[in-house]
Amino acid sequence: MTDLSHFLCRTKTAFGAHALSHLPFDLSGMDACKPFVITDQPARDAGLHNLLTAAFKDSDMALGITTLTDFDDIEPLYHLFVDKGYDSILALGTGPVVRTAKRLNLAVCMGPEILRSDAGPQQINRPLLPLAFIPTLPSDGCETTMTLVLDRFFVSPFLSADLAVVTPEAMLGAPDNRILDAGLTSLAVCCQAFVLSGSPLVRPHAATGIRLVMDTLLPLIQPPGQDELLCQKAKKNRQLPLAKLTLASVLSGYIRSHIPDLNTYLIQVSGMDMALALIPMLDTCKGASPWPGKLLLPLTDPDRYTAVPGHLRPEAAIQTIQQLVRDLSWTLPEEVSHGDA
Amino acid sequence: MEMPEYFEFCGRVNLVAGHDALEQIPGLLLSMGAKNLMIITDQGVSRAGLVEILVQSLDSRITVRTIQDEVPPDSDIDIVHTLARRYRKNTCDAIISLGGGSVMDTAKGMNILVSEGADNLRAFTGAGVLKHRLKPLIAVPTTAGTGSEVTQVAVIADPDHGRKLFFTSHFLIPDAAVIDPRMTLTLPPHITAATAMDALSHAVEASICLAENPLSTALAHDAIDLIRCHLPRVVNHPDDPAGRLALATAAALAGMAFSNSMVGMVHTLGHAVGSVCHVPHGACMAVLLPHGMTYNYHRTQTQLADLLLPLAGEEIFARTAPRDRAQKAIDQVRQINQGLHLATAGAHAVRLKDITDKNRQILVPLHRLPEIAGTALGDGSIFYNPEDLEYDDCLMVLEAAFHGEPLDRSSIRKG
Ligand SMILES: [Fe+2]
Repeated sequence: MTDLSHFLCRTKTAFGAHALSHLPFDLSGMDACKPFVITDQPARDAGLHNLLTAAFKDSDMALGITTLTDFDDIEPLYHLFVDKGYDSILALGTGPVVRTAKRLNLAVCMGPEILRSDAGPQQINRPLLPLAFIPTLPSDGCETTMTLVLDRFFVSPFLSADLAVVTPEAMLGAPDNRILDAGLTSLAVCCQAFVLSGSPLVRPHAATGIRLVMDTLLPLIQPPGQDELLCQKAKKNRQLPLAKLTLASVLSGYIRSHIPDLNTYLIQVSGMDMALALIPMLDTCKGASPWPGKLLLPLTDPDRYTAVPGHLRPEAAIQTIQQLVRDLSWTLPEEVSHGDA
Repeated sequence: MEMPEYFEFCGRVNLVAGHDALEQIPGLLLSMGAKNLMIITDQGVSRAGLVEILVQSLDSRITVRTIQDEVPPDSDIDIVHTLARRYRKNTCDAIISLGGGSVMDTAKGMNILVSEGADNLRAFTGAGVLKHRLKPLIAVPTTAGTGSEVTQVAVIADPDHGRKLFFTSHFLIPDAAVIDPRMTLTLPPHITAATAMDALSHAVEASICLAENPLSTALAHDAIDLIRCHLPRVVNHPDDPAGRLALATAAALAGMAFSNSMVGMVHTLGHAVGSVCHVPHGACMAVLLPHGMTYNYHRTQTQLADLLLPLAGEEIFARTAPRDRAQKAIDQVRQINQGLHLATAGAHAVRLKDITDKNRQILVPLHRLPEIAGTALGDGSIFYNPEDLEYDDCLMVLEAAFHGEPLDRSSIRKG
């Protein structure tokens, strides 16, 4: 164990079918009764906002819903929120929706001037309004970090969502390359956090994220059959694995800030690049700690892990990632394939 | 990866763990806008000199307004009300709870009163009653077992009404849990053993009970791994700071695991033994854990088999056939208990009938088992146990635990 470790995740995670039905209870537990839903056009077009309407049908909460078209101009949203007396925010969508929700929350609680680029440094050391995040796709995990990146950088545990509600019914379909990108990004973040973070709380989060990606990513990338009925079935069957992969994204956001040398290892343009960058990283630190070897456990399973002698496990972990990358590259168009790993 | 149809996980605590973790407290308090401190503890902790270590770790930015060291071994509502008055009188704005489960629960209860501006704690019992963040509370555990420093529950006795009050809310989770091995270095070996077995029982039950979920299970497995690697050495070398840090960290991980997936019959029966016979909680857990695992064997074979790796390590896991792993995990818990029994010269009991007080008086007489079984049926944790339990089942398990005989699997209910 390292000399000193910190870990804080303010977000409560809920996962599963009908998870949205718990939302009214959770919000009332935070003394909220008038939630404001922010969503994007794809979620709206797919009718996902109706899931929320249904979830709140039997509650005494009045729900306002707005679909974002302009992610840059927060002012109309701010006035709508304040004028109508909303007291909490539900962000239904992906990164841009959550970023807007965080900006709105900051503006409402700290005053809109905090968002101005010439505002002085501000410490956010008290809770903002209740914020729930309902993802509609796997992503790079930026939604569940405790940061907000505008032309200035805000960081505070209070910027984290209070709730992340991952449910298969809210999953949108997505092209394979987007799923691949999200899955490999989550894998890379979780593997790096597992190996490099000294926190005993980060590792179980990372291990769970890794297991979720290893279970779901490859089957999700397999193209569905041509038959229309089969496609329908495949689409429906994809919702649970997509939700699991989204949960991996959510977990990776919680632990992202616990990766030392973030700039060296993490900032890559695509999930595939990040997964490829894992390999030299693991190679470099395999003699320095037991964690590159222990990474084999969440990457595989206890039987395969214990069958490999301890000194060979770092190499086996690397080979497992290489194999996954090869398997995934095989199913992808040329422009997103990076050849042999 | 098996996923439950629905689960929730909330670990909203800043876990700060390390050899000089106490020195982080001033920064943590200031980041929450607090600097006028009430320290709540008990006389045992105070006599052990731990309050001085804590106070010395603070700096001039923090004012200790008052130190209250009168928390009894079983927290009750009177002390909660008294402390709330003193908190207000001393115009404090934050709390440090320094101690074990009773101190933590007292601090949580008092925090409800001072944050809500209330005078009667009974008005806040149950789940979801609290709606707002409470005053800053930092938990510094001095035992490595209960996990209360990271849980969302508090249990406080109400002697006037002859009942225990239960409080559940995410707002009860302390803002920070500061795990510093200096706080557990002086625990005697048999208490180290019992409290670690409490943590082990949290981890095992979190992994097999009805509300288990992948995050809780991952935390629980890591906790078990830490306990297996460090407990035997710490019991023999109590002044091992690295081992102490590992055990205290394991207790926090296990606490977070069970806070999110609950515990089952080991705690159902353990709470009842504790309340009828006044037996320390950890001692009950150590004895009852293998019996609880056996009782649930037919419903949780897969989860029990998965526990073998953290419980026994790689070699034993690899050379045990998959079909034998669940039973081997149970045997491993018995073996850990047996090792602790030897290492503590018998002070760590492996049968209910061997649990004694400091005057070597037997605490659990055979004739009280029926009363214990009846009491157990009223414990809330019974609902999370994988297999149903009725009075006869409780009595059967208690009798086996009393005599130290393995349960006969053929006589276990298969509901
Ligand atoms: Fe316990």
